[in-house]
Amino acid sequence: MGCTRDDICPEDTQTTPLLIITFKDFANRTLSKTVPNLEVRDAENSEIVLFSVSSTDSIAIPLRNFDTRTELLFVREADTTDTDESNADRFNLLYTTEDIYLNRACGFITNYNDLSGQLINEEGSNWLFSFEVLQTTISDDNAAHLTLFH
Amino acid sequence: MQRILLFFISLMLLSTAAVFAQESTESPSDTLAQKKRDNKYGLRLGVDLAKPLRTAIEDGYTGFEITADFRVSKRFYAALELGTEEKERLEENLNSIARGSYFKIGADFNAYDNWPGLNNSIFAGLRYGFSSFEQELLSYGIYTTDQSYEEFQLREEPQTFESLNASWIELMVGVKTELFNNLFLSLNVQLKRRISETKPENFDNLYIPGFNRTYDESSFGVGYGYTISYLIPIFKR
Repeated sequence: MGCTRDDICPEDTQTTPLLIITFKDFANRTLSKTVPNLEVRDAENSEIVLFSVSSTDSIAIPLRNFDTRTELLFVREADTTDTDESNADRFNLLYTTEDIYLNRACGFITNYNDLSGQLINEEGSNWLFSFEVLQTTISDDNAAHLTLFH
Repeated sequence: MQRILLFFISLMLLSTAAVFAQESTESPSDTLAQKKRDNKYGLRLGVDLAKPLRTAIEDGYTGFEITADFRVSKRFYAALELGTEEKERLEENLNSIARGSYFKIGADFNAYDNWPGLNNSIFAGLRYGFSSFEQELLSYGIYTTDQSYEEFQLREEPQTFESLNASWIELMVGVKTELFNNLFLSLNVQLKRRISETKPENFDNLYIPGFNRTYDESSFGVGYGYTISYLIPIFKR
């Protein structure tokens, strides 16, 4: 009999995982490369900000667990309204969901399987050049699942 | 759980105390005839009043239990309970129903020395319980620590898990009072420990008929009974 109360899901429990994305240099694919002032929004509902403006080379974002696709808008230099500098690229994620019963307090979580990506080509104006799916199954948020090259 | 254990222990101490208290005041002049009159042996049949009462007042609960005991010696009674229960568990994230039937078989030990003419008891009981049931998973939500997507949708694809069973050992303490001639009212509390269980795939037994609700972190369970029973006297000894 532990001290854990049955109605509180412990914080250290691995529940529904986030998608971990790392950003790397297109010219030298092993090098991490920071994206200046990155912002990530949901493309279907751009009111939803999944990652708010910050310069980084890795992010963790939630996927739509009630759907089998999440369409994302990756905005570079998002801190400016200058449309020449700010650039938004669209990247879609496709997957299947697998619901898993954890325990009474946490209930069900979901894992994502068969992950694949789709970079929308904007005829020369992309800042994202390519991607690589590192893990097709997302069951924890300990390591990167996807790399975007820019 | 600790509080429940403490409650059981204090209840047992209390019952022993009551027995000793009475022994000291017992008069040695009790006649053999008087004692004989108390020793009715027979079959006692009853129903647990708590279950129909809960059925009437509690949403999502239906239950019924019949009880039987048979006196086999001065202090020992063979005991049997048969019951059926259906319990809905409606929570924010998880909605399910358990339904099934169970039996409990074992013995009661009466620790109480009655005054002449009385047939009350303070008893401890031991049972083996077995439940056969099914669980229906009605709907559930996906637990997530991130609230970016405000849409919260329940997955509503009901699944039924049939042919589940569980067994347990149960310790019971209680009191029985003879209200009128041969009519008894009994109150008992139960501490149960699960010894076997078939779990549904990718789900759990949240409620087991007869065992009551389960806990994630332990195999213990608790319960109570409020039983009215009638003694059919067969012989006196």
